[in-house]
Amino acid sequence: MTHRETSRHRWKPGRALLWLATHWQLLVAAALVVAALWAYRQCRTGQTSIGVVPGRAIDTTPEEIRALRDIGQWETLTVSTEELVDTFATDWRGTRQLVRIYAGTLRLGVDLGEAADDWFHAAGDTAYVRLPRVKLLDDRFIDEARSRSFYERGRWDADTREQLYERARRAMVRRCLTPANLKAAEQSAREQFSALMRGLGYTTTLITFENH
Amino acid sequence: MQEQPEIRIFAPNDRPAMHYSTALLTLALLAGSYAFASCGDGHEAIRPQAATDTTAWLVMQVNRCSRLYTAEMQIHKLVTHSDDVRLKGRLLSSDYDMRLPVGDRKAVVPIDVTLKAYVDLGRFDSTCVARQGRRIVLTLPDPVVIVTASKVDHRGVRQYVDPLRSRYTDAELSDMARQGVDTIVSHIGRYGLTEAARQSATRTLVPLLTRMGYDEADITVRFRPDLTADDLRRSVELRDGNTRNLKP
Repeated sequence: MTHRETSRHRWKPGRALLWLATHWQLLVAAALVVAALWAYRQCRTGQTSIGVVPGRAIDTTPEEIRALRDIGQWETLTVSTEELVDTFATDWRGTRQLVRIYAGTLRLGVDLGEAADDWFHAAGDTAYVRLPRVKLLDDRFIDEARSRSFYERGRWDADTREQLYERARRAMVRRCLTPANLKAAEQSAREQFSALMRGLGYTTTLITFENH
Repeated sequence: MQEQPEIRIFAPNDRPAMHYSTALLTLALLAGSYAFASCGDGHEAIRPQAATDTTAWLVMQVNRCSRLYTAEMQIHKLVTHSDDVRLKGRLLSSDYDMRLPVGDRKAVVPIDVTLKAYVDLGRFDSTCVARQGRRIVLTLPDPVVIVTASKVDHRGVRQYVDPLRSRYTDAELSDMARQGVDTIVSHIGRYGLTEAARQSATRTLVPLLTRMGYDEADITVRFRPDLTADDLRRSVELRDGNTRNLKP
């Protein structure tokens, strides 16, 4: 090999640096590959993790007691139900739809606050009880916090949601406040008041309901 | 001499010129679309052309019970939520948690919750009554407090959303309301409703017993927090002689 051929094949640092400077994109790509492999290994071993986490918990706020009152409602029958209510609309923005499932518990029984002052009197071992008619004890029976949104498309205003709530409430009343359920509640009231009077020492209990 | 290849190093000046008119037109279209989409906050001027509502019942469960509700409480709560997107992770065994500058969103959901306290009289019988001459003692289970109804004030709901964030969905607002009620339930012991229910139950039952012939001073109504149906059954077995007393 001649001196000229030897110098051509010898690796000179200056020429290497010049080559790297002109091909810096390869360096960057190689560094990225190495970093990616390192990050992959870190993630697999659990030493590195990353995630975007949105906040889900509510803030701490005070509760305000707006009312506290005595009541005397004797519940004899409960009807737990769910209602699916939906609405959709078509306008220039397209089709919008909202489907919600409401949960509620209708409580039937006797409101002793509506009973006459002499709703009870006794003669010997016989108790005479005159109760108010069996009815829905509270018109507010929907637990909207347990209700859930099933499907939503588009934006809906507060009036629509209030209308859906009212529609679900009326539907529940229509389906659950039936003559059969009222009759069952009345029968349950008879049994329970009879048991109460027996516990208090009366062998016979005569129960009547007002407005019958 | 061999011709050296042209060495071309990438430089910022080689970047093609921006089409500012196209970019401005695109931004204008996006801004206009967003403005139309959010105008009126839902109170759109154009009425929907068609609306159809359907209802269907999914489940119904009927239960007989014997509960004397003696006290009711109305609670109002403003449920607030602050949503900032955070980047959380772990790097080289060090935890990090940083807030991303993509905008915030906040919401306020007013809820009204109805709590009622009841005394379960399903197992009331002669074992709950103790008579000693002119004195009578009623022993009842402790009042139980439950949530009977909850209502979201939809007209009072407020949302404050930065441009880069999306509005709260109906499911998210419902979840906030549910968390608010759960918080109220966890604080039930602080409201004093149980004690109010005991007093109210006494005021309900004492007139009944006075009509039976007992003097008000001879009537005692007591509540046992650990009283269960099994306790009542055991007390019947341990009863002694003529005095039908419950074992303390």
